[in-house]
Amino acid sequence: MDFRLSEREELLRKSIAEFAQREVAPLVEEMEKTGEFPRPLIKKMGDIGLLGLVTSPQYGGNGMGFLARAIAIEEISKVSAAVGIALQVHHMACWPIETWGTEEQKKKYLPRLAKGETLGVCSITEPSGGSDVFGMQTTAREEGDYWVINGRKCFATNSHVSDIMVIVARTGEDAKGRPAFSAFIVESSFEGFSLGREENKMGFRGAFSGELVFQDCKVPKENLLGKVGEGLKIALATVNRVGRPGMASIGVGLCYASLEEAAKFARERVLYGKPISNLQAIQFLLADIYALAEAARLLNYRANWMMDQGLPCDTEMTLAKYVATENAFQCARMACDIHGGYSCILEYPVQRYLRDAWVSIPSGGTSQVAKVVLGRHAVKNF
Amino acid sequence: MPEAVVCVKPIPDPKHWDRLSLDPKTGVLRREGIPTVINPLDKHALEVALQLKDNFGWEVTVVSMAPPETTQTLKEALAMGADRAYLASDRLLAGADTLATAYTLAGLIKKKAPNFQMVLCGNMSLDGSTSQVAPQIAHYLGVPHITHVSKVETEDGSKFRVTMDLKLAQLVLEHQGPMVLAVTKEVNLPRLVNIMGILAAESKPLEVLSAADLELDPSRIGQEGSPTRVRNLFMPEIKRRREILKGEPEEVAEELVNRLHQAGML
Repeated sequence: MDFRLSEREELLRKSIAEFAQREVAPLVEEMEKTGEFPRPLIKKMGDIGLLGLVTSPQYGGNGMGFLARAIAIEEISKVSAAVGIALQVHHMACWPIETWGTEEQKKKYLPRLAKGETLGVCSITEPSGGSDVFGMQTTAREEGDYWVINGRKCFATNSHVSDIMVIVARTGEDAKGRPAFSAFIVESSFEGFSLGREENKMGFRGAFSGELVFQDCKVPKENLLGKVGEGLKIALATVNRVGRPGMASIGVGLCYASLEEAAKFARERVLYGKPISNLQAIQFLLADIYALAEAARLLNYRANWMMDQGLPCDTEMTLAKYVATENAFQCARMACDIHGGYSCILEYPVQRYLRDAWVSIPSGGTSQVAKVVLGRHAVKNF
Repeated sequence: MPEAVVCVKPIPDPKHWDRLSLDPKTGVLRREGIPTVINPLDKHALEVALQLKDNFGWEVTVVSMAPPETTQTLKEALAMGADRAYLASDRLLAGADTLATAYTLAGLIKKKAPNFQMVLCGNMSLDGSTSQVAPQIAHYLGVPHITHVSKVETEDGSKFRVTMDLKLAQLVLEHQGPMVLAVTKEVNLPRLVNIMGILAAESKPLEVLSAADLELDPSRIGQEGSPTRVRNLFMPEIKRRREILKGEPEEVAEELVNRLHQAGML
């Protein structure tokens, strides 16, 4: 077993870290204040190759793969978890198009997404819930050359900065009488599409989360993604294999951001004539942050490596997401403890890590939903 | 196509210099666990070359003298856009002073890029700070050099207008033909490495050469061939001066302002 990253992956980490420092860090304060995503950053992320990580070169991407994606999202999220989630959800639009799309769909949409003409959206959640996929109310019916969609999606990341969205709607019933769903590629310019409310969140500030509204929205027939009735399969695979490792990578980034800030503060903060890093109480906290960060990273890298190898990895992805986001919250909490009263001051980033980590937990499925998956797996396999 | 050669030095990452220490017995710098990066000014030098490549189709060759484990820094230069890289790496080259380093790099350039039009260096390395290597390379190559370069302009990629920043004045020089330039950070903002560049770098040539490969004079390389010796290396002790001014608040404030003026801080 070789745990070393390749020269290519090490260089990727370094390059993305530099990009994050130069292009993302100066935007964070404004994003926190306004909650707005900095639109010029989209093109810059496209230019550096971040938007094409899971897209093949023939469709304008670089196809560097999922482990590379994990490293890149981690480095971006160390500086801004909000940009991290915008990036990870963008990949959730690219991957199903490449996996289930027709050649025409791939040629039409993937280069635009990889280049940074727009960010992608992948939206399943509705006001009735996200994990209860059968409760989805949005419908699509065939009418001439179109699918006509009616309904509403909520908490859609990138909602207000996207022109290309992958969504799932109910298209009838299967042979057993259960609701059947299909996936569609929707452009923001389609008739009957509009944007609804924009959420004012406590964390991931600067990443848009909003409503997508479909009122007799006319989607050309050729924009059906996959076959009729494959919507649920597409949605669940995308959430499991792209969404969860994306959230896990954000969690890992937050763990290490907390570790670096906490260690730096502990070295610099002098109490009783000595840096507080000399105190065992502080060292124990740092040790715990370190252990949680490393555990989250290793689980995440393994899951993403399995994905790159084409191995079944849904359970590993769920495990990584559950551990990494929960660990991120614990790490941020302990980093705040080390900062004492300074953790309440907005100038110190640890409070932001805590808010972002909190929001990362229900994103892509709550920890309880993850535990249902993991619990079932444990009962069956151990 | 004209060729620019960029000299690149791998140095311990300045972000981690607080972790550097000296071995009290040997006086050697302990750099274990500290990542190696391209000397920051060398990236500015590389950017000058890459702009010549973008605008006038030049070829860009990177050269370095360093231990073999530093190939990753050269990969980074290739990922930025350089076409090829050569690393002179040999135990016989270890311990070189600036003159022996310049002799080696010039030997490498003569061997692998004899038709160069421009050699670019950072004005100094952050770890050595001598600023001597670039002029010494020019000496060995027998071409003119300009240091403290803050601007490089050209309209046709053959005749150059180069600004030398002397702090109190700027000297603008024009030159056509092979030369060595040592650049400052004011010259440009180096591009970031992009992912496509990282992938492309994997198929670009990176050759490691020994002293024998370069057919260098053994008496002029490494520690043996270095006319200068480091007699002592020490961490400077920085002490704060503390003085308490006593008296009425207004007098003390005036005295404080005077002192700060005298210290040149106001």
